[in-house]
Amino acid sequence: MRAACSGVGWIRCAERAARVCAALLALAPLIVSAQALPRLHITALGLHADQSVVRPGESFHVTVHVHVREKRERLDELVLPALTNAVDLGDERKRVPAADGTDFYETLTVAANTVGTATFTPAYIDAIDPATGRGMRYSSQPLSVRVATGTTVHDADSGALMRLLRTAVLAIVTVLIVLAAAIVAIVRLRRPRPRPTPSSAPPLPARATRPAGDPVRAALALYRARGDDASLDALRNVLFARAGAGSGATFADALRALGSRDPQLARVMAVAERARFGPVHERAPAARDLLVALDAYVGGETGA
Amino acid sequence: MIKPEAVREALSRTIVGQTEVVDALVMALLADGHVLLEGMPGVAKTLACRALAAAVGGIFKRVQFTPDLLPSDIVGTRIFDQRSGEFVTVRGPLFANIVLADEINRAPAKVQSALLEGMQERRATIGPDTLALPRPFAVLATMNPFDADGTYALPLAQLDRFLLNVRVGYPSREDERTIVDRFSAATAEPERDVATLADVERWQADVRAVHLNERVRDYAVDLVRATRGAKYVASGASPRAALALTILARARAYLDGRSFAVPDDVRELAPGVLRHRVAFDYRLAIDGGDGDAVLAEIIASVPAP
Repeated sequence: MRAACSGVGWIRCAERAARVCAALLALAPLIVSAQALPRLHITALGLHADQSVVRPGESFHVTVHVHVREKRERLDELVLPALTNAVDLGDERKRVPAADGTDFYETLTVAANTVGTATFTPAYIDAIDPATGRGMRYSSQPLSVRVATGTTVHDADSGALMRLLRTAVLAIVTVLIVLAAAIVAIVRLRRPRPRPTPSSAPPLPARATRPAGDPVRAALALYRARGDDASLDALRNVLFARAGAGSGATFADALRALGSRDPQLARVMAVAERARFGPVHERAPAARDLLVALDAYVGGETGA
Repeated sequence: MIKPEAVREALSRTIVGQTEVVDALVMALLADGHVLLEGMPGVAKTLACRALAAAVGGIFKRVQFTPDLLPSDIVGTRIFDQRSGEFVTVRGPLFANIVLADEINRAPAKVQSALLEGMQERRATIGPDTLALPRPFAVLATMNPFDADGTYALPLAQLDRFLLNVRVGYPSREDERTIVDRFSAATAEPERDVATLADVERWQADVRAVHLNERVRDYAVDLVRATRGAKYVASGASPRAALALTILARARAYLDGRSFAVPDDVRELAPGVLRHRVAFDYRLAIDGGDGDAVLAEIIASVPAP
């Protein structure tokens, strides 16, 4: 070691140490951010104003009170409320040790800007709840203070009465409008609507006769004789092939391939889908429908 | 008795074109699942979600996801009640029937996971309280796949929670003309209360009763299994994809007025169910391929029953 750290070695040692220090310094913010949330038992987080009605330009106080069970010197994690229609004139921090922890009071001196409402967003603290070990946001309630033109609170109250009356009239008018809309809606709902008829079959058009030795007939004969899933699958495949779709095709493929050439074949394929994939209690009637539809389909040949 | 078709029609009257998006939203609602909508800004993703919530008369909440969003901004927080002197639980926007998570990939992972926990568990924990989310409950999340700067990619495990991934494309020229005519003078006002939340719950129960033939079920399973080990695929879809495919097939059948699902239901829905559940490997990018085209090949390779 002595040899390594002598002469040029000392310089290298110093460089290495500097690199390690730089790396640690670079990591420091990450370490701090990972541990940024404090573990706090927060039992109170209130937001109060010392006046409920103020005049424009009049200063008043808004106090944030936090009680934590821990003995703490500072509470830098507290995020103060954002102000709307008010200006922050200054703030004062106070820490009061208590038997069951620490109380913190942050008193903001603010002045309202214009007539209306001065609002304060909730003050909050992000902290780890020691009971659950999870990060939580603890918030106060929001706060709003009325800013009135009147020189006294009494004037402001009479203004409030007028506002209340206006609100009541508005509410009555709204209820009447809603009632009228409801009546119109009920009348419209009772009006009969056209119903979709998804399963209605198109009328069967006249068709050309089919060639003898039709594979549809053979598949139909097999299905009629056996009536099982395998013969039904074979029948579907033959129907799909007739429509122009290859093996492994679906009903939609077959319909696309068929186009508008043969609506009766489309209907037969639709019935075959129900017979093949329908629920058990629907399969027997669907199978009967399929035989009827197929008889009509191939009957064009024999009946011609 | 109101049918889900009424909701679909109401949405179609509000949203010009985008029939696939409308159908997907209604089917996901029927299947009691969540939807991830991907598309450029301004293609009616948000309007579609608002219209769905309005049509079923549910509580609709929208959360714009940003990098500084916190889990408590979604789930809720504890607020000190000065009268009682105690902290009370205040529920966040997650407690709604339809929650629109706009640009979900703009929030960090801890926020995404808080949302996705709610989606999966259907409940949320705020401090010591664990609260059930309202029924029905659906999260409709949007994502712009092209503007990736400053975003946090959703891991596959989280994407898997979405029943369906819908690509919202640009409207046709005809539709775009209609949009300009209709909305340049007035804002889009969705039709309200076409159905009730009770109707939706009834539909969801009906959908679960739609018959699924074992061959249709097997087809869904085979499609999902075909994604594993396929060319260009780094990791295939999970069994949750097969579940999603079958429940959505039932929903599609119900929406079409059928009491049974057919192979077409499965095949039509497969791209949307598999798109976000399959991870493609580097070779696809090198070959300049497209994930949807790969999926189409995989789907075509499985013969339908």
